[in-house]
Amino acid sequence: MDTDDRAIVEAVLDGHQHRYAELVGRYQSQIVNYVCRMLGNYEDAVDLSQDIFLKAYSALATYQPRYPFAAWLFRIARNAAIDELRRRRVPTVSLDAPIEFEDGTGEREVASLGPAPDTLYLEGEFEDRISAAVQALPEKYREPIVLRHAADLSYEEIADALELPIGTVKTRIFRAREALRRSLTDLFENDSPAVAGAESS
Amino acid sequence: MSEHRPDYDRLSAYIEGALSPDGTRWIELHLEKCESCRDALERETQFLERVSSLRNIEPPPDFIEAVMARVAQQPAFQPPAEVPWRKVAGWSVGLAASLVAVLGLGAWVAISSDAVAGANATGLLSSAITGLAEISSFVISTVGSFLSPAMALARAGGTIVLRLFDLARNSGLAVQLGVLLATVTLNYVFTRMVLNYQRRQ
Repeated sequence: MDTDDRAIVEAVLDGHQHRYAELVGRYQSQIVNYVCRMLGNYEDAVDLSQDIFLKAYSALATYQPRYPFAAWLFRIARNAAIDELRRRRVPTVSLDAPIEFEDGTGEREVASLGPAPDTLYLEGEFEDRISAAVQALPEKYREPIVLRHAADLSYEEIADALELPIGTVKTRIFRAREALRRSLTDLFENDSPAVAGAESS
Repeated sequence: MSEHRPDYDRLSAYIEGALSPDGTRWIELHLEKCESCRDALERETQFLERVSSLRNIEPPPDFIEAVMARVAQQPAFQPPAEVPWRKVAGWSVGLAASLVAVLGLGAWVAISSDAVAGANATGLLSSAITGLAEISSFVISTVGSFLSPAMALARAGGTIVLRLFDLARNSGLAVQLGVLLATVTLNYVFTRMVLNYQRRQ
């Protein structure tokens, strides 16, 4: 059985610094996934995720054990990601929209967010399409859907992390899914060749 | 059955187990009768599985080491100064200390007092309160003076104890019992305050 997060925090605060590695190990995947889907770049996401764990360590004495540790950590992650986005002023645009060049218009080319470029073609296509569709969502919808599906947080944890009522969180997630369904319709039709191919692979 | 538009929000909540027991029962009954909703449920299940590919990004293998290398450059948290009774619940320490003070110190003062010779219950109690009040006042004021944030309350506590003592000295048994209770309560409150202060350090 996993040691409770709170017990690890208490051990770290009692001077057992090395125990913090357990918390990093426990949440590294969720944090990197969340940050990567928010920033849209793997290398930047890894760097920022390290900063987030360092910030969390520095602020550990302020953690209130009556709240879930995950929600507290994701509040720090969220603030860091938003600060980074604002600092870089990354615009969110529809990836389907053509881009203007001096000699006419062309299509946007987006690098894959997946770390493994040699994944199966169809799986890669799915991931790229879904990732691009999520990136195109407005921030207020993108955040909860990323926390739900990339970071695997529960509705309650998302509500705590975003400091929103749980009803608002659910509404935003449902609206985000609706937008994703619309933009990814062809991937989810029963008779879609892409889905049929993926299922048989 | 008439055609209707499937409620994807409700279906996704059902798949995630986020519906109430009544809501779950309702949708299961509906699904038995409604083919279009069964198809929609299948599509929604597939959709959620695909969207969950958002969490497929893996942190680099040395992520934990990289974070811990930076954490190691931070000073480790210092364990709080060890207080022998720190691990014990504050309320039990406070209560036990108060009872011991009442029974032990009060009895000692009563036995050693001139007033005890041939005294009745009122006289004995009066002497017990006298001893307790004087000692409580001294201890509260002295200990409190080492804890600057608690000092004001400590001095107020000491003053109150002395006033109670004055009140009790020439009163009947009922008042004396009331004073005894008030003194025990004051001891308890003060001990809790000191414990809380120690924990925050």
